Amino acid sequence: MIEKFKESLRQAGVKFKWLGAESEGELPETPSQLPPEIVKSMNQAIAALPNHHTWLETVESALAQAVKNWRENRDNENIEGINSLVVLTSPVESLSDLLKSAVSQWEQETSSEKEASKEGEEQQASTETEKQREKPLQVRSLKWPYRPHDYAHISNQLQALFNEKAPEKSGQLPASEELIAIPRLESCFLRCIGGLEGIEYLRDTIFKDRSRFFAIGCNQWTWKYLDRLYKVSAYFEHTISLPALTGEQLLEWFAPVLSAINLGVDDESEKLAKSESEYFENLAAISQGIPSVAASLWLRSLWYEPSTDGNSPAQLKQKKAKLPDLPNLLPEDRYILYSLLLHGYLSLSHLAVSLGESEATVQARVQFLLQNDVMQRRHHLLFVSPAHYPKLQATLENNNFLVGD
Amino acid sequence: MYYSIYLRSIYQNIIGQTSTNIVESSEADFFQNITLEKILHATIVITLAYVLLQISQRLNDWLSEKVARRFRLLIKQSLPFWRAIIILGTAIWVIKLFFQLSANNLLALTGTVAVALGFAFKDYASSLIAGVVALFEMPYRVGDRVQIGEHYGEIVSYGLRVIRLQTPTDNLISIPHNKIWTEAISNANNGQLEALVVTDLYLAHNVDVYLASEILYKAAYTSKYTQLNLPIVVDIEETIRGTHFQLKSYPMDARDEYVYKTDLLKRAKQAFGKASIAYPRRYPIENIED
Repeated sequence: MIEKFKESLRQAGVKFKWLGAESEGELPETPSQLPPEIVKSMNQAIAALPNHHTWLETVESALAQAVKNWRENRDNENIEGINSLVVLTSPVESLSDLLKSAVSQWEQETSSEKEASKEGEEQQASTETEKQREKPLQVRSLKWPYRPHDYAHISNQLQALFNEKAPEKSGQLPASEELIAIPRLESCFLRCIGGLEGIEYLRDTIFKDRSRFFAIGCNQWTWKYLDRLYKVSAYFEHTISLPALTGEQLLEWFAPVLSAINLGVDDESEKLAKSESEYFENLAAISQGIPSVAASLWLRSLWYEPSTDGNSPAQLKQKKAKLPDLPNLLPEDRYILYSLLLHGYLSLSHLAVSLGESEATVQARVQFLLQNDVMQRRHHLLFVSPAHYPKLQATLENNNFLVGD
Repeated sequence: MYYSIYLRSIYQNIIGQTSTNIVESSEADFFQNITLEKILHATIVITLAYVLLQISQRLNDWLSEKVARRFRLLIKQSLPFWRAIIILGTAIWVIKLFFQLSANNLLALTGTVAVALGFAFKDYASSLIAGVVALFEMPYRVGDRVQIGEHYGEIVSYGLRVIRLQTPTDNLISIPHNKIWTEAISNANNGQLEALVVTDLYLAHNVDVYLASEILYKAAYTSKYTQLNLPIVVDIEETIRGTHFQLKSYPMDARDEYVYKTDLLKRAKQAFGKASIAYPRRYPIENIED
């Protein structure tokens, strides 16, 4: 993906330039529109970036510890035997890939450890408990990436998934224990009277079925909401929040994209390194250390200057990143945006149901929010623009909404 | 006889002369020279004060609706103080233009005003004083939703003499402050943004109360208007006509009281319909009495 991005820059003949604070005055008030192919390739390059290793390590180590405690204390009714781990993050960040990567990394590490100690343990494993531990742990993941259209029967779909017979791997004993990954808990409910059964089913299953371990990803706003409704924090005691990334970590995460952009830069001086570091410190501060917000703000801070005479290359310049202003929001806009942040992604029909309004009523304001770029649409699903998240969070909090941390 | 007539004439002479002197000297001390310039000055000051009052009212209304909900009531509630400062400042300015404000004169002036108001504008004066008292006792503030007598609504204006209530039917009702001396003031939110909303529902006697309660709880928890930081309660009472359910919850903004109640009823009734929950049947009154 990065190579494709490099290629698109090469084709467009774009040179990249870092700007110090003193040079920012040179830029015109309104940036020229970035060529769509560059924007597209930039977005793809950013989307293809792997999760920052700090996050991956945090989740993987928490998962390894939680699963170990659960397997060792499965039959003890104490806190160590808790069969779930909840990973919390902001509503504009997706945990699907992170959870998937963490689970597969944990699987790999577990299998390699097993291989290494297989011979030594073979003769020692005599007790029934140890034999039990020998059995493989079947890993399964929730199949739908987004909320099913038929939200009223999510519990049936969850039930079908849990009742599915695990495929047997050749040469292994049938698994008696399972790890079930639910990367987006917010996709298991819709805020309406008939849309909460999925959460109720999960809550009851996790409470009763101790042969399964649940790795759950959830956004902090959803978690707070569900905690008010069902006191979920009493059921899911192991929760971790992903730490905010620092400027240095963001720079490290962005490095592949930046290296692609730096094709035409010949200034490798200390000044460049300093302005780069200052830029990312500021970016981390205003984006609350959330990678998706930082990426969106970074894209907005780029200024494109097309070639004037045809001989000199077009230039991409970078101004200090800042949060975009929100348009004047009406109370109904705030209800819409809160609902989106609560659910992550919503189709228009689901949004209308969650607000208790008709689609026609909601549509006009959705159009306004789309036009003002506060909201975006992908595959008919609506979501909040990450760049607007920090200001939106403050606005909604000041308007008495129950917001996440 | 002669003696008494002589004394009376002496007394009348002395008293009459003295009181004339006192009045003349008081008049000279009490009033300043009234000139055309001073009258113009006073007119300009009063006009300016009036304009300032209008501006402060409009600015306050505009600003309070622009800012986040959390700060709305704070801004609205500051209006009476700004008005009081403007009116007090103007009154002092004008009085100083026309009167010599020594301690004696101030006493004489307030005494005269008190007597005049006491006789001629008793209720008006009572309302003014009650307005000042209410500023500090705060039985109501701008933005509060209050019930005074038969009238219920949001206080949208706090004047010197009256408050103005905007009723749910969008009527504007003026109520003098002196009601606080005699009437009970029922304040739903008392300076807070949230106010309890009670939604009443009557269902059949044989209804599954657990299911009905669960639906009502969910209706409140899923409404976009609900303030989730405050408790939600369902009370049940058995009545002759049916089982009476009361859903008690808070909207995020007391202003949404009626739209909130409508939303709760819509959600609950839709779910009751799906769950085939029955409403009370109508019986003829005589059968119930039997």
